[in-house]
Amino acid sequence: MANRTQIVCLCEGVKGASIDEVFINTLIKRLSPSWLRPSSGSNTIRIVPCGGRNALIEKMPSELRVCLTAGADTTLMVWGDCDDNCANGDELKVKFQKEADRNGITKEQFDHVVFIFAKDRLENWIEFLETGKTDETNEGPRVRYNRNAAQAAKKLADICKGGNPVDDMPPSLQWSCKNWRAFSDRMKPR
Amino acid sequence: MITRFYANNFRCLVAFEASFDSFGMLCGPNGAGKSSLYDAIGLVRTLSTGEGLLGGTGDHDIQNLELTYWLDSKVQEFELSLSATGHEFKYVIHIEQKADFEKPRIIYEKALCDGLELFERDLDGVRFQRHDGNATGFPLDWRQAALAAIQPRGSIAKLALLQEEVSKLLILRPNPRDIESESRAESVRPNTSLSNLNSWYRTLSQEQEWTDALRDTLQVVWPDFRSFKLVDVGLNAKALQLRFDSGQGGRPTSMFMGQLSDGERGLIGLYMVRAAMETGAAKTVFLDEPDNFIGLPELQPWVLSMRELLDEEHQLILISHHPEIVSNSGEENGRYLWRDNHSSPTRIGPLKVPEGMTAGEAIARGWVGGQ
Repeated sequence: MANRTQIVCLCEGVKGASIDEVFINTLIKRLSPSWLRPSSGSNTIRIVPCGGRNALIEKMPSELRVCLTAGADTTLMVWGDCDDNCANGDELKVKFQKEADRNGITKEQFDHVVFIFAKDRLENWIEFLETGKTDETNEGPRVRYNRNAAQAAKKLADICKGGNPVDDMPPSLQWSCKNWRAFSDRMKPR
Repeated sequence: MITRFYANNFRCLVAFEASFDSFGMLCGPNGAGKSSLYDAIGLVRTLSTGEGLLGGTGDHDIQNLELTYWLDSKVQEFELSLSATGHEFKYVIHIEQKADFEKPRIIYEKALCDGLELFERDLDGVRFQRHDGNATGFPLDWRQAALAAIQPRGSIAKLALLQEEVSKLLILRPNPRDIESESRAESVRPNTSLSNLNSWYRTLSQEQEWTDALRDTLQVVWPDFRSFKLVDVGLNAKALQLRFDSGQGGRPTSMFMGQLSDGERGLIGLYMVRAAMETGAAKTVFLDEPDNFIGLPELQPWVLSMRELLDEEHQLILISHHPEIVSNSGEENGRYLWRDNHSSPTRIGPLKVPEGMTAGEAIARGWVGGQ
C-alpha cells in the first residue's frame, strides 16, 4: 500500500534530458491539487527518468501494474515527446497501448495513465509560456537553465488553475492539458 | 557562478582544470580528489574574502600549505573564473611556502574583468590604475589577499562584483552530528560542516523573506512543522527550537535541534541553504555528500527544489556517491574524477554510462572509468 507518493512520473531522460524533471516537479507542486496530499510530504511526486522513448514504452506496463497494486490514489503519468516520427499525442499513445495490450493490461487499467506528450522536448512549451508564441513544427530554443523551466512551469500551472482559455496554445500542450483535466476531474471527491 | 577552476600543487591536484555549469554532480572513487577540489576552492575563498590569513593560528587561517608530495615546487597556483551580472571575471593567486618552519605567503595575485586588469600584486605590493588613469599602489602584508583588502571604487569599482561573488560562495560538507546545540553569537556564513547552523540561523532570520522561504519548504517536508523560535538558554546563548502541531487542536510540541534525529537536522541544514539561495544570501553552493543521513524519499525533492533556482547567477555543484543523486544527474550533469594510483594526479572527464543502465548501477559495477 502506498503511503505518500501519489504521482509516479515516468519520463524520457536522463540521457539528453529529453523531458526536464524540474519542469514536471515544479508544475505539479504549483498545481498542488487538493487530492494530491491526503497524506502530505515532500515526495508526493516521484520522477523516474527512463532513458529513450523505447525504454519508456517498455517500462510503462510494469510500472502501471505497480501503481495499481499500490492502491490509494497512486497515479502513473507518462511524459514523453512525439519527435518527428509521431504526428501527435494520439499516435504516440497507440504505441503505449500496444505495449500495454501485449502485457495483459486491460483498457480500463490503461485509461488510468495520464499521458503528457510534447511535440519535441519541452522547449516549444517553454518558449510559448515565456513569449506567448511558438511554432511546434520547429524545435524551440534550448533551455539552458533550470530556473527558466521552473518559471515556465509555474506560469502553466497558474494558467491551468485560472481555467481561462488561452489563445494559440501549441497543439501538444492542448492535448496534454486535456489529459490532465480529465485526470483532475476523475480525482475530485464526489 | 564559477565557470572554471584551476589548481596546481595542491594535494593530488596537479595542473588540474575543471569547468562548471549551473548544475553539476561530481562522482568517482574514494581518493579520486573530489573533496580536495572543494578544499582547494575553499582555500581560495577563505583568502579572497579575507576570512583567513596565511600562517595565522585563527580558526579560519591557513597555517601550512598542503603541497603535492611528489612535486618539488613550493608554489601553489590557483585560478578562478566567474561570471557575475554579465561580466566575466578571472582571479589568480599563487602561494608559496619555502619550508615547513616558514610561514606561507602570497607571491602573486591578479584579478581581471572582461579581460581588463583590475589589480595585480606581487611581493612588492598591490598595483592598480586610479580613476585619472595614473598607476597607484600600496604595500600589503604577504599573508593577506589583496582582493579582500582593496576598496572598490573608480576604475576598479567592478571589483565589488567579484568580492560579492566569492562572499556568496558556500563550500559545505554537512555533518549533522557536528551541529552545536546552542549559539553564542551570530555567524554571517555557515562553516563547512554546518556546525554553526544555529548561529547562521540567527543572522539569516533577520530577513523575513528568508524565514518565510525556509518555513514554506519545511512545511512541505514535515506537514506538522509550524515555526522556529530562538530560545535563551544562558548568558548570550540561544538555542533553536522547532514547533510542531500536536494534532487535534492540542498545544504545539516544541523540540530543540538536539532532540531531532541526525537526518532531520541535516534536512534543516539543506533547506536553510536552499532558502539562502532563494533569497540571495548564497549564489554558488558546493556541497560534498549532502545525502549523508538523509532519508531516501527526501533526496529527489530537495535536489529538484534546489535546481529550480539555478540560472546564470545561481549554481549548485554536488559531490555524491549516492545512486539516487548520481543516477538522476546522469551524463548530462555528471563529471567523473579519478586517479590512476596514489601517486598520480586527479583527472576529470565526462561521466559515460553504458547504454541501458543507470549511472549509479554502472558505477557500482565498476563499469565507469576515466578516459
